[in-house]
Amino acid sequence: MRPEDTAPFSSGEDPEAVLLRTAQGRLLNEGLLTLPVEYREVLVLRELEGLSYKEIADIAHVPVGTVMSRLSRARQQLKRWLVPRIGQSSEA
Amino acid sequence: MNCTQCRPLLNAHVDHELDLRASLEMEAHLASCTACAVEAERLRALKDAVRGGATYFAPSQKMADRLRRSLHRERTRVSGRRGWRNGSAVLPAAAALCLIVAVGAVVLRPPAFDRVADEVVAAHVRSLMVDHVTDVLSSDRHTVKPWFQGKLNFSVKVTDGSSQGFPLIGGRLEYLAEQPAAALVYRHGQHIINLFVWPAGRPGDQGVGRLSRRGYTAYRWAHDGMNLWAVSDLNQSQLLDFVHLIQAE
Repeated sequence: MRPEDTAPFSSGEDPEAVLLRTAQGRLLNEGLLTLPVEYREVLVLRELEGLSYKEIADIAHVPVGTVMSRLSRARQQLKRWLVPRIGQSSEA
Repeated sequence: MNCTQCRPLLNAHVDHELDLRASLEMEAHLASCTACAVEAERLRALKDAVRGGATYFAPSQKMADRLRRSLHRERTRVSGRRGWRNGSAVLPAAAALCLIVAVGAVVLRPPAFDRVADEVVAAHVRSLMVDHVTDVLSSDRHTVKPWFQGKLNFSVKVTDGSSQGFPLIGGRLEYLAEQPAAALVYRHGQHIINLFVWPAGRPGDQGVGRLSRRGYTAYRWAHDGMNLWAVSDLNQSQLLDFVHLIQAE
């Protein structure tokens, strides 16, 4: 499937984006824990510590390209885990 | 730019890590390609969710060791700096992070912190956009400090840093974290520094933390029941010099 085929909406908010924004603490933490540790680390250093790719690369002793690919895979995997589970659990 | 070229760069784009040219090409593509624009929006939504929701994370042993070594390097580097005082309780952000890591778990900032961080940086950027970055324009702290009296219900300590290359240029009223705050404006060369001050709501001190947003650096700490944030596009080490200057007073 080409990227051009996957977008059903041309206006208004994308439902998956809306759903993702409602993901809550415990579910998110569970999702983060399903990630391999090196994926989780770059995601946390980026989103919660606000470090740049270069800073993460320096701390983790890997090239910036590796940071980028880990981040991309971390997000992809987390999203795939979260989307079917948001709003299903009883937690607030 | 087509979709095949865009997709691998989408993460970097939403993280503001692309250079100007790539970023403009990306924006042009996203303006005309719904599929990629939706993918970008989903990425941003995921980022917001992670930033707002995650509260606990235990790093791997390898990462903890690396952070500790980074702390050691930073301490060694910093202790040679002019003006650094031995025994000071101030630590750079990496060091603060390391200390927490050493205890075995990283407890992350609560979501409210990110909102305040965004607010503070936005206030800094906005102050640079208007004709005047100050409400009271004076390099004399004996003019600036009393100007705040009657406008704020807390006392503002005003430092003059001109002898160290950080002259005061004035002050401004702000509204941050749902309360009135003072902005003290300094200059270093061509760069403006906003020092935001407001009551912390609890007594005591808190160590220095650093964060970056959109190319701006912010250092935050608390002293004597007051929150302080120093924001600038200055490079980190120079801004940290400013922070030490303020703390030394």
